[in-house]
Amino acid sequence: MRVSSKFGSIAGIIGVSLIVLLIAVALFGPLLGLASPTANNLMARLAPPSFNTTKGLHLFGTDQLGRDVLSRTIHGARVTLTIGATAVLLGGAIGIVIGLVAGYYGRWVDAVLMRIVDVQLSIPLSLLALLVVGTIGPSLQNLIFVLALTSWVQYARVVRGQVLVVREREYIQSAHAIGLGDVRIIFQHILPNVLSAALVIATIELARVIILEAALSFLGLGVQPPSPSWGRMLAEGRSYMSSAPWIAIFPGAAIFITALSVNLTGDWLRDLLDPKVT
Amino acid sequence: MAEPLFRIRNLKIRIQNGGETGYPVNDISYDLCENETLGIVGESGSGKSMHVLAMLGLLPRGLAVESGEIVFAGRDLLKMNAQELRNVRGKEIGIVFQDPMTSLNPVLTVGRQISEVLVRHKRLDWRSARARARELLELVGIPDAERRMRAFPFQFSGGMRQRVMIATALACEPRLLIADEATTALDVTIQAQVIDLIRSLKERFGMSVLWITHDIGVVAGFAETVQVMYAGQIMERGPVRSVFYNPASAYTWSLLKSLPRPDQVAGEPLYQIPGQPPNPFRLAKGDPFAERNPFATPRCFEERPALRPVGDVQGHEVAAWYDLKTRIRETGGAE
Repeated sequence: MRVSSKFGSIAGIIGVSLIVLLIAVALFGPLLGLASPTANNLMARLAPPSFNTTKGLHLFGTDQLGRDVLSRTIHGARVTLTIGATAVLLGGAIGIVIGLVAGYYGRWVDAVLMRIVDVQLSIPLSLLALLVVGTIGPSLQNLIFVLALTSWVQYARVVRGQVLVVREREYIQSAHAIGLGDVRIIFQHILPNVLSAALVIATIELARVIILEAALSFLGLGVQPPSPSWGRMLAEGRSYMSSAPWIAIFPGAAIFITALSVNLTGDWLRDLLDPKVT
Repeated sequence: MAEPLFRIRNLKIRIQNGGETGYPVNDISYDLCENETLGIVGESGSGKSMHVLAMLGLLPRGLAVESGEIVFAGRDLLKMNAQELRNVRGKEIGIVFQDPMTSLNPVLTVGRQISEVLVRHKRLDWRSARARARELLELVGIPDAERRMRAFPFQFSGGMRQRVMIATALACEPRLLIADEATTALDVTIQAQVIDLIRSLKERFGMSVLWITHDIGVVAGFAETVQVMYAGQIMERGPVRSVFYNPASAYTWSLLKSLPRPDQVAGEPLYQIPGQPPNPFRLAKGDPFAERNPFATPRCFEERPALRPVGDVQGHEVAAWYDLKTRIRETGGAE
């Protein structure tokens, strides 16, 4: 137990540090004075990573249009984190409310809402995302909407389960006994007690949403050019994999590190908030 | 006698479990006057807590009021809709539950939880509600109230939490305070403090108190009237002195006999009531206590007795066919 919890907290520290680093890069990276992520330079196409400044400084090299890969990766962090965070918040808000309502009212309300959840779960999420974006067209708003759509069920299920437990606690009966209404009991007395569970789900979902976003962008249904997105960069770099691997490697590594750090943080949070899970 | 503050008539609560129907509260009627302190005594499953939950519209799922009326200050609580009931709960009727360790929300500050009642019922803004909550904390004897307002329940001891619950229950100066096993989870010394506190607050606010407990000793020192319940029925009720010195129900007699006494010979086993508590799904047709009662007469097994006056003490009533003193003499005690 001791060893695993110690390992858990080390992993947690690594995860949190990486996330902080990523956010810092996304916020302040563009201030580094690098080339614009969308500036073409056909004289410097496919330049390998180097400190050589004869063709301009390209630490991560350049892509097939001579755009700076470092700059594009940094801007990609902005796009990815914004999309991921918004989708997770939106999906979380919808899922938490549905979970609260289903768990609190029970009976047919619960039955109906949970059947909707089952239906949602029975559809493969990437397929659903492809279908929806393919139908309503790719744009930033649509992408966020689709990602939130694939994500709310997880919150709804976990929150409902927690509410079933919390609802029966004596302090909720006390809240009824002092004459509070349902809305107040749900949002002010039950919600704070289930937020920690929702937070853990949010970290898991954030990692999943980031990967799904990259996948959709890779398929051309996500972020549209010329906006830099890791998935998009991966797709474009694929054809140059043998001659100029850096085009795909750096965004790929960025996706990997982001997902890993979010997952590590999530595991650590789970252990922290629920000591019973070992 | 003063006007009754509330009146329960023929209250019957039904529990449905699969195909079975049980009656955890089986036809009870009683009055509670303004300023009266009534102690309700009974073991688990006697219906003492259940009928109070029915009164507040808080019955758990699966239980429902089958018939009867609960008139509080002229209005039948059972005919009210959810919104009207919410306006009564916490405002006109305050309730303190058994376990102070679990009755406060762990993620909200104590000040917030007391203020909430005032915001809800007195339409105060949060600022003035907080100021009032602070006064209430001082009133229930919590030192350093200002700092304690910002504390969370886990930072309080059991007795302190129960004081917080009392402050919440009294925030809107209710006409009736219900204490449902309010001191059961506390140490004996803390229990005495909490009882004293409620007694003094009762004087101060001039409210009625309904004290529900399984500890007959707590009632003795505190209530004016005592009501003994068993199997969802009232077995005996009356002024505390009369009931304790002169019990007329074999059940009350057995409870009193089961109490440990300081003058008891060491090592001598305590008296215990033979048999099992009744199953609400299989109630006997006669006196519910008959099968455990060493003094039962044949009639006890056949017909359910109604409350009848005992001797010439006003308000002392018993539901029994037998005369306890005569039966004790005839059978030579319960051995």
